[in-house]
Amino acid sequence: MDPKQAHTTLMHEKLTHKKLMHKKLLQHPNLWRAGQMGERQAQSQAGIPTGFTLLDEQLPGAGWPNAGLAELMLGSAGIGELRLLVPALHAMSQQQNRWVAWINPPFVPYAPALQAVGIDISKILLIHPRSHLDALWALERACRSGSCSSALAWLDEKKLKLKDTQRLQVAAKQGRTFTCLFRPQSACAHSSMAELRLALRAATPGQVELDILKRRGGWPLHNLVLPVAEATGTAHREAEDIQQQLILWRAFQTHSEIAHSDASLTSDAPERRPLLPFSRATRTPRMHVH
Amino acid sequence: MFWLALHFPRLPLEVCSPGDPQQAMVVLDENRVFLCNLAAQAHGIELGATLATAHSIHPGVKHKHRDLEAESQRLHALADTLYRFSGHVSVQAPDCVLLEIGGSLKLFHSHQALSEAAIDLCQTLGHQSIARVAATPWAAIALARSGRQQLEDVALSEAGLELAGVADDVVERFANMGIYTLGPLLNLPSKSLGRRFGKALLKYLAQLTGDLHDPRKARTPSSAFDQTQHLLAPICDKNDLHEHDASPMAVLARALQQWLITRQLGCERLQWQFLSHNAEKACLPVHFAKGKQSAADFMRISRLKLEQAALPEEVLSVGLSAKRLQPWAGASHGLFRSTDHASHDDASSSDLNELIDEFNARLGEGCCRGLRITPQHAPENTWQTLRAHHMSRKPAPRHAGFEAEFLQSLSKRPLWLFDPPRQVSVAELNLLHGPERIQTQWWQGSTACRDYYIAQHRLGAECWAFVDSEAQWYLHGYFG
Repeated sequence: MDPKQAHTTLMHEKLTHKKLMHKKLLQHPNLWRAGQMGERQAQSQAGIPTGFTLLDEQLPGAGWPNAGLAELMLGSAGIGELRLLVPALHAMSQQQNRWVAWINPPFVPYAPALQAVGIDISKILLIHPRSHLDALWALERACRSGSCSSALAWLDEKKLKLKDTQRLQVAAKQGRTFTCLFRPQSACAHSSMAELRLALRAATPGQVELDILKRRGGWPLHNLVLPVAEATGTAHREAEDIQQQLILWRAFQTHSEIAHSDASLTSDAPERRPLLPFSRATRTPRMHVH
Repeated sequence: MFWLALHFPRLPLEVCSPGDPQQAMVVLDENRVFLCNLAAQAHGIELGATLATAHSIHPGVKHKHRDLEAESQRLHALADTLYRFSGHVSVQAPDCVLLEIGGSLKLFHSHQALSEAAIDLCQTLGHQSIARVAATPWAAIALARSGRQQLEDVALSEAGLELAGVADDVVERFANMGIYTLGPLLNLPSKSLGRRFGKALLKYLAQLTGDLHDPRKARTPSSAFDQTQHLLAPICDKNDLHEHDASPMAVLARALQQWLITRQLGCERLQWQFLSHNAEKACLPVHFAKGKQSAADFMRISRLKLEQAALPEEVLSVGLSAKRLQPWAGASHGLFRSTDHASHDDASSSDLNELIDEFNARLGEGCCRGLRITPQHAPENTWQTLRAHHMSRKPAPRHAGFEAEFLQSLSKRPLWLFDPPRQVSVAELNLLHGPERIQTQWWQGSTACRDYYIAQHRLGAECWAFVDSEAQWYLHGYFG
């Protein structure tokens, strides 16, 4: 073997060795690479599956943090924030013997509907503190105690400080509680120590559009559309005939407003009123007689 | 029959709450120093001295008159606590508790072990005690009072003659005869003793030696716990009430714990009482979701409650009474519970209840509630909140047949409900599905006829809206 050839073989061997080392290094568990979002993180800390494959793929641990603070920023209330959480709440309330704490919910969580989507309502704890400080205390206590699988909270946005979110994050870690803060859209501009921040917008009925503003080990992500209604079995089709009905209703309302303003016409209104709503209802009888 | 007598030599001092141990303190009986604490002893104050003498020895000495009633109450409370060692407990006023331990020896293996356990228990309740065991009640009492091991050595002045109906001057007459202890007295011929000193002495001696039966009335333990701690100096700071181990609330909580353990009960509701100089009173009820037994639990919840409560400015006495009791239900834990990772997702039911207790204590009763479904037709009546206490105890009633059918009918219900419904203009809605007519309570006369639609609100939320017979539109919920 001539020396030149020997040299190239040696070089080649060195190179393959280097490549091997490089490959090994890439497999180190502490090394995170942007391409392997779901799989790698899933091994280190499994989350609570959200029930939406599209979202699971983008979240560290392939789900909601099972010990940590998440924030949902809502454009307006009721746009699908609960249905987004329903699969996770369903799983947690059925599998774990711990409370699901609701602190300061803005409306009444409707028990029959919650039961219908599979949430065990005997695990639900509704807490209505009188002041913001009490609410913060209750939330932190619920997180830290370890006897809540999840805690959902609606706090006073004006009084919520950055350090509060940090306390909550630490408490949630300690008590292994999925803690979820519901905040208005304006909170997107404020910084927060939550490990997951999502901004929700209403999309077409039955769907919610969301941006991931902050996640562990990933860049922000925009415009994910999730079919929340399908996941909870509450999809409604848009019926043609109702549209016509709606047009009639609108016309009726404007008409009755005119009628109310005009005293001479008020006597006509009661006769015309029942025609619209009841004609249709009698056609498709869905009377519930108990 | 085998008797254990517990003598409490410092009871008059111990009935008032232990203050600063450095503070010299004497108890006066008929204006003479009856008992003094260690600090007063160190200053050289002797028993029997007048108050003026004590003051001249140490100007800073504090005094208090002997309170026989408080002592008797405390003695009875102690007897109740000691009930755990024997079924036959009696009180020998003013300073002894008597236990028949013949039946308990097998359980405690030896009378030494039993005595030690009893002394330890009294110690945790803040009482120093001397325990002696003898074959007859009087012998045990005589030994305990004198602190001796042999009956012969017991001085007559401590033997309890006065309690057996023998006058004080008899002791003096014996002293004149050169008889100072029980030993020589027992050696004297009983006939001549009886002639000179009366039948009471003979009866006492016969009961002492066991020749005559000495029936004792067993104490029935009280079925209610109500104890009060009187403070020497008024307490103005809430923290002083509960912070350290010797604080009045902590002492009472421990007493309650012992009382409950003896009866195998758990306390569901207790009440603190704080009294001031001018009889101003503050009550502080504390509730527990499940019966509790440990002082630490009582104090943890009481502390939260105390933070919120308004107390008299100067608290002079603190009382604790157990209001609702339940048979104690212990929980079994795994031996290696703390290291068991598998059970992390399941908290024990006691932990779950503790959280409710804490919420109720800090936020007030009724701030923390659970949910329940009721079999009603009107959508706004199909849910109910219930006090979280009730929830943990009994599961919601299940109407098996009704439920499946009922839930089926609820698949198109919103997760958020408005209570009451909100008025809305139809112009803000885009109808998606409907109508569903729900007619409520026509049998009760107040007929509400509503056509429910699923609609999308202008702001994007999917909502549950209805139009009533007045053609007015309402929002009844969001699908969330």
